[in-house]
Amino acid sequence: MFDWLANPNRFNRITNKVQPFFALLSIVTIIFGLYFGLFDSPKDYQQGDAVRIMYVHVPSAWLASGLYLSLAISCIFYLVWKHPLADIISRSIAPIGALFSLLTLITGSLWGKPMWGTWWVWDARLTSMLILFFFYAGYILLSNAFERKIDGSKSSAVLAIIGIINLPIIKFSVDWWHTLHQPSSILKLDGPSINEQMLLPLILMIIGFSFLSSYLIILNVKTKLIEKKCEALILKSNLNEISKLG
Amino acid sequence: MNFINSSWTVLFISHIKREVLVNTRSLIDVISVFGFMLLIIILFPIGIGPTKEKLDIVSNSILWISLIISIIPSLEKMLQKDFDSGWLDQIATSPAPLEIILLAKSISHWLIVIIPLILASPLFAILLDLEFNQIPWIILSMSIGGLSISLIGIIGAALVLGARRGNALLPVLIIPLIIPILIFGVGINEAVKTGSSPLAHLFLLIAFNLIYLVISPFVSALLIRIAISR
Amino acid sequence: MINEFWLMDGYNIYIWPSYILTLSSLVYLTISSIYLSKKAKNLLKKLEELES
Repeated sequence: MFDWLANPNRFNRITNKVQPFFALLSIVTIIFGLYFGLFDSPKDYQQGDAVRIMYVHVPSAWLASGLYLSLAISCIFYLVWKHPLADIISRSIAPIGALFSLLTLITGSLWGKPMWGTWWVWDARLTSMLILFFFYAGYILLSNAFERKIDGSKSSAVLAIIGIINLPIIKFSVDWWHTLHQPSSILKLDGPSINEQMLLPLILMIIGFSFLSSYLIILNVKTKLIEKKCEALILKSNLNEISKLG
Repeated sequence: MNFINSSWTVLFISHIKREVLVNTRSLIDVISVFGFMLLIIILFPIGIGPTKEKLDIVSNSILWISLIISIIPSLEKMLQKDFDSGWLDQIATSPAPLEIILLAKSISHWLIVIIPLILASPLFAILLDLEFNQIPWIILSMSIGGLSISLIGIIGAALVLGARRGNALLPVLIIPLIIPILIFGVGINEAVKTGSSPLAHLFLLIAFNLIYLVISPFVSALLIRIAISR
Repeated sequence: MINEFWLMDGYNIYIWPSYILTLSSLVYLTISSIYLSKKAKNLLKKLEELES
């Protein structure tokens, strides 16, 4: 079944149909999410308007984690079934996921300053997100650290799988570490019980970011496939010229 | 009896002997790791200030962090020489069990690098003004945690085999894996200091050891085979 | 009243940079992906013309 899916021509045909939908849906949902988030939703009784940062912080966090899971799954496909398309998909997912984890950290920091008084807080979830950022950075660095790009694919795939297996362990350890050291204020960073009016913009932004990521991943995969074709053509023309000489 | 004489055990023990002999030949290597750790432990109090209250809070963490930082440079050497000389190639393509050899490599790294540092911990404990009754616990926790660090380290060395600038990349890759070891290792020492039970942290550290004892040889062997096939 | 919106109860220096940073980085990522895609397609077209 994966052979069927991994044929580049079939991939292009299917994605050509869905790409405009993803683009349109992402723009629409993000615009509505922004509207509801900034205008039409209530202030939090504890955090005031600052809770609005949640509408970009939480979706970024979801996307960062979700994309890492997709990265690991794609790497498993690459290692087990050895499809070059799986490697291309992994390499396209990584920068987007890394960006989202970075955004989570920065918006979390901007949320923490008015709430907890400091720019960085060693909150269990922010610390785990920092480690997740390191996992992304490690994958991107390792996959590009070899003379020929293809050499880095398998090792970084193993790294991503090590990462996804370790992620729950690390999350558990950081949670333990955090409760062990009993922070003085136990304000949760995602606002108290979310009421419905807050739920709507949150879900809209999550959906919007997801569609945007899918669109970008498809776009980047296609670009890489085209680049591969170009390399093949250049190689062919070089060989032709060399054979003409000889 | 059969198991003791089995070829795997013989291979394992002889490989440990080989590693220990080869790597302790130059005394400078052994001493430099110790010197590095000593240096870091001296720098921290100089940076923090001599107030006993401030140092009391962080002394266990300083000990563990300096251990981890001083070990990192030695991790790259675990596989590099054997890879360059082609010895790993031969072993990987022979019927010899690569996993057993990698396990032996990790344990010999632990014996050569980490155990000496741990044996020197009474000296470090004096410098950091730790109570004497904590020292046995420090030695225990660092021995157990140190084994996990060697096992994780060989995975890291295998990941960057053949990469450009693999040396600089290695710490970035394995630090996330070492973080739980650090958390629970310091947890043991802190628990002993405050008088509560360190057993939960101890069992978790032992659990990590067991997991990595199994996983590390197989994952590193896989990565080495990937590296050789390039 | 409009001022109330921009000021966001005094949290404005935190909220607006978050939104602006997030949205502008996503926009930048989208635009650069589209740009690279167009560049690759042009290169492919030129190479295929050269071949034929």
